[in-house]
Amino acid sequence: MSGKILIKNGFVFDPMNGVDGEVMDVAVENGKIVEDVKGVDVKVIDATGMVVMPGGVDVHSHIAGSKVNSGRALRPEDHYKDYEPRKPGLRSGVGHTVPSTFVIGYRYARMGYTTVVEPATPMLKQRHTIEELNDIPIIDKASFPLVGDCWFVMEYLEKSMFKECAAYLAWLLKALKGYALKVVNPGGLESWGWGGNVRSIDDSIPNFNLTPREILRGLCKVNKMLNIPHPIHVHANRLGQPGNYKTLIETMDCVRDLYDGYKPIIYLTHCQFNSYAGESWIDLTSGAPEVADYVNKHPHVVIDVGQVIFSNATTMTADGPFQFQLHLLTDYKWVNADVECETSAGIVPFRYRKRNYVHAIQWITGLELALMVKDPWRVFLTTDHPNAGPFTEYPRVVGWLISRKAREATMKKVNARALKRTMLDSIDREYSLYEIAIVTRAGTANVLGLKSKGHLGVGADADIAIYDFNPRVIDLSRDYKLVRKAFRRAKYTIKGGEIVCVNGEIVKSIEGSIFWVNPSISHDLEDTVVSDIRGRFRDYYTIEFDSYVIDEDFLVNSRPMQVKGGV
Amino acid sequence: MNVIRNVLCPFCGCCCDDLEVEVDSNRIVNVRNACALGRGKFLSIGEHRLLKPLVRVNGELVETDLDKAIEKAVEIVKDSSYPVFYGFGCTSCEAIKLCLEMADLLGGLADNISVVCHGPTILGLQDMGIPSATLGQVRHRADLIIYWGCNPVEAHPRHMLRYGPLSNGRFVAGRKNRRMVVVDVRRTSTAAMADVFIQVKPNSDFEVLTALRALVNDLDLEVEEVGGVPVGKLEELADMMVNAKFGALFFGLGLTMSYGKEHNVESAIALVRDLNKKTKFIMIPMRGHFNVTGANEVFTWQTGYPFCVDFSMGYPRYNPGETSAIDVMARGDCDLLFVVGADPCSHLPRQIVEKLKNVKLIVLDPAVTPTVKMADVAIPVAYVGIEAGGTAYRMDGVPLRLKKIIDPPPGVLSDVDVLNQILRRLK
Amino acid sequence: MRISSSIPAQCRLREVFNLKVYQITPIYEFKVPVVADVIKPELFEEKQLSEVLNVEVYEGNRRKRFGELFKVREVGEAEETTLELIGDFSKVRRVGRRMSRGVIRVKGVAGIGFGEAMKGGRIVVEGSAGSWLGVKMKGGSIEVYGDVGDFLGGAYRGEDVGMKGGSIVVHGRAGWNVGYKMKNGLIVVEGDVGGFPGVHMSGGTVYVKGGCGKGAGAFMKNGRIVLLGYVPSILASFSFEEIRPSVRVESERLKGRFYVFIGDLNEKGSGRLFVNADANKHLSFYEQLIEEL
Repeated sequence: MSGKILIKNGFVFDPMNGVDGEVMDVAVENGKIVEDVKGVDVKVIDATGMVVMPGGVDVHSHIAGSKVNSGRALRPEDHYKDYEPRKPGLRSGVGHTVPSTFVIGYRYARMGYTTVVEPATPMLKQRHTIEELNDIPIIDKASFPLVGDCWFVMEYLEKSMFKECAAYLAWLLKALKGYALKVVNPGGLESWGWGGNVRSIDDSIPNFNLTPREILRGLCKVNKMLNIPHPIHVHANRLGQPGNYKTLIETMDCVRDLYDGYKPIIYLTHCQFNSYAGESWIDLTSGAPEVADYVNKHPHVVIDVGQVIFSNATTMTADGPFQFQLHLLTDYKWVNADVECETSAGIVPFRYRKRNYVHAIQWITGLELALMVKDPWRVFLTTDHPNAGPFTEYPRVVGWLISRKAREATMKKVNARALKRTMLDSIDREYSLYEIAIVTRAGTANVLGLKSKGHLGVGADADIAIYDFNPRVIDLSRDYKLVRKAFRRAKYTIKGGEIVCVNGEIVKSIEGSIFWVNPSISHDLEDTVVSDIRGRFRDYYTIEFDSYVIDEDFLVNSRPMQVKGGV
Repeated sequence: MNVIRNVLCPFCGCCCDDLEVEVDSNRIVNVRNACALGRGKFLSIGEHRLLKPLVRVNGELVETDLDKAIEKAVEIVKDSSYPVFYGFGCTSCEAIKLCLEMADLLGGLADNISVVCHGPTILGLQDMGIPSATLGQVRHRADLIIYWGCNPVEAHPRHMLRYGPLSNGRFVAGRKNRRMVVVDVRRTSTAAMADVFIQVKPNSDFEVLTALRALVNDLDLEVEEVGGVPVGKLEELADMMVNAKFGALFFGLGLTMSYGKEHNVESAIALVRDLNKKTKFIMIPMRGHFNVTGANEVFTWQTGYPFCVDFSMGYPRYNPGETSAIDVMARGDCDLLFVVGADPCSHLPRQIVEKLKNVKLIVLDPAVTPTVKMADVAIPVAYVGIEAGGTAYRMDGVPLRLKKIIDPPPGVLSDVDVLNQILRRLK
Repeated sequence: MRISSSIPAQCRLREVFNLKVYQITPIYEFKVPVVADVIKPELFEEKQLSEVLNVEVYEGNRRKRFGELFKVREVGEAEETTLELIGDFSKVRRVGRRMSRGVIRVKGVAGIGFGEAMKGGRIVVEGSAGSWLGVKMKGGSIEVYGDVGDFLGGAYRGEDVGMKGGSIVVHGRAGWNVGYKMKNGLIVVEGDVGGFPGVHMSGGTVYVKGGCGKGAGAFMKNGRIVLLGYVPSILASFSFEEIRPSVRVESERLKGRFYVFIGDLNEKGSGRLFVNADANKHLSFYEQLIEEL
């Protein structure tokens, strides 16, 4: 990997370093961005007339683990027509909304993405997530363990034992090689253990003296205590229900007083699914304006969109009760997968149709969020793959963001009543390429705290995407189709200094790395807490304590991030 | 003498990981916490060992060295137009991945032993989904446990104690706080422990499940008896199910391999699904071997399909009945059978085994099995979970770590090592 | 029962008798599966014969040219492009996939998946045929003189629906899951069928003249299943509706006493089973329900 590359003359977009389309060279050596490279063995890439950006960083995409795999098994019909034949050096695979592992790596790399986060993994089955991540080629990965309804966590928080909770979670991230703390429908998953759900953030949780609000606040405190780079990553209560935008705002607001002015302390994910106004499916409408207004006024919050694509999707979340409700509504096949002492999961196939009033509202809501939140460093482009659409459709979302014309072309075909009842049609804002670079790579790397990703400064990992379109010649708004096409198939994708994709074809398959966070805390506290957990473990889980821990050498290319915890 | 704790038992789908094994000079002398089946495996690994590679020369199996055996295997594999890679119930995920890589590279067919066991469960869930959970949910919450078409006392001896009616959970503890129901065609030893035993006529599970589901959905039945079961008894069972706080249904080959097969499982899934409208209910298949679940998981994430994967056209294709190893063998479609972690010549129907006479056979096995005796190339490998480590998945999808407790006999490698050597020469 | 087979509109526009008849025979005995899903009448109309012989097919995992495996001779002319498959095609798969016109006549045994997703034209098999015959059919017709395997006119695992149109007639027997996930169209089997005819149906008609196995109509949401022969039992989720003196299938009116059951009520279905009373005296106890009504 001592490969030297010089990317010459491209229009560079590197928002973390303030570069907005300047014509610059980018130099690579030994897998890192360097000042300059010299010598006869330099591979020169002529990027004249092309866009050069850091490799894409996807902060939320369900790519690996038990529920993703159940989704794959559930949907052979998703694979029959969409497959990748084997090629020399490349494995075959399948899948449209739930691709197989090799295909995931290849398709992300084709779009110029180089880092992807699996945002929800059940801790008891973390080994499965790691095994799948190991099998996803090229891209770097991380995973977020689901901690919100974990019995140990809830017991600590019930008693306000924040230090002990922090110590437990520090140990957990280290033991499971996790990157950040994920919370889904807090309290709702434990309720679902009995077939129930919670209806508000102040609802009670059966058998636990705790509310969802207390879980959120407790974990927010713990996250700050441990200095975990990424804020708590939250899938709010009441997802998918009409009128739920109020719960979303309450969720954002419930930790507001914990903000210290430094960086966001709560991340709300796929907000589109939580931003509905109205009282029923009949008068459902977009609550995005209210949500965007709150986000604009409150810097402690950061969100991603979860944009709907009109195509097949596979809904899969840890929100067991929501998934069951979706099954009842649609009658589509349904998988449920509760995990003892921790969490749940559900999977239901889905299809978003333009003419359907509800789906149109959903599509509108996501775009309204993206267009009305002003700070691109706090609103990110996702489709909550594969819930709102497959990740291969990100370029289509880019098209909608940069071009009102693109939105109009789709608006012409969507349910007209939905358009009339919402604001999207009146929004003229069009994202610049700089902003696109933020919401797909710079901003996401930043919120993750991945200092070596999402930018092209010296010392960064040499993850670079080159897209074949000339921003000085074409009009982004008018020629969005060209831009979309360019983002679908990168001219070049470079990962860790290796050229992996040329003209949208994978030319080399390499192994990616797995990032995880290792918060160091006081030895005494850690020993006390871990020995307490170990002593009680058999009363909770049906496996041994030692089976729960994953050795570092189980990971392919482990990249731990040492963090100094404050306990 | 050494005591190794936290050992994962490499026998059945219970995957008990609390075994303690006493080892003295590379010999296993005692096993604690295991059931008779697991203990038996640990203590009998010395028997019937295949110690040297074998190659068939002029109709006879002769001993050879590993290098020559691998050469011969590679030659046969390269020559094949439709190789079938089969087995994977008793080996690690790491070995399974290597075989999938081989099948992908060569354009072969890869299949695992689900095809003779819970394959119908997979087919059923692909049409219906499945409401499931990990085993701990049952232990902590279930006040009603149903064993349908399975006999855990004999096939999964520690199941009831660790996960079922005899277990102690956070919210429900002990046998007396739970109701246990067994549905089977005969009064098994598990049935003897049940509060309610329902005997169904053989091959009538589908009708019985349909009727039960109708009762749960508050439909009136127009008959007095279904599948040998009086409707009154079914009404009682329906009431128990609807009034449970948390119900769990465990099911086995009694459903998957009797008349109806995948439809039986579909009906059970639909029943449990309908029950979720009224209460909380889940179901878990009683997987037989300790890593057949792992085979399904690895197959699915690497190829998109849990079994019956055909790479012959350059990409994964799936159509059980067409691309299932059993049917391929029955139709005489394959020209090579490459077996890892299974013993098809013992377990498959005679008509199929007879067809294997015309098929090249390569086997990796620790023991001299009937499959080894019919092989063209047989390579000894270590017992996974005892002499070699790796990853395995429990019947509920929980991933666990197999340990290497002792070394294999001299000259015997793990199947991962052997497969790596074969793969290297193929690439 | 006659099947109506209309000449597709495209043919009417052409001069009749300008289309060819080809004989296709395997050159040797196939030991491994041969996937020849490009072989359909249109191919011979769109390409020169020499090009057709170069078309890629798979023999096991080897890519071969069609002409390496099959001998093709032009033997005459007909109203429609006709392919006569002569010999043992039991290991050949998915011939006639997506065909929309023309005729395929198999003088021998047909393999798996013939006529997959066909839209028009005709397939005639003089011997027996493998499973998934006419899977996901949309139009046209299939006729088999011998027996067929499982999933006749069915679908592949996990899909929403199977057959959406067209008609299939089997003079012999059929296996399990006839009409699996059928949405529209007609399937007629003159011999016995195995278990679960019409399983997961949502429309169309399955007509079995022989006996059937258990589970007829399981999970059905809509559609009609007509059973003339012995039916071992009716699922408890079907409700006895009435007795009818006759049942119509396409242009034929079948006389007799038919027990009519509606279901699958577990799926809130409104499909119907029409069971011939005379062949099923053991079901006569249902008649008491009429008196009770």
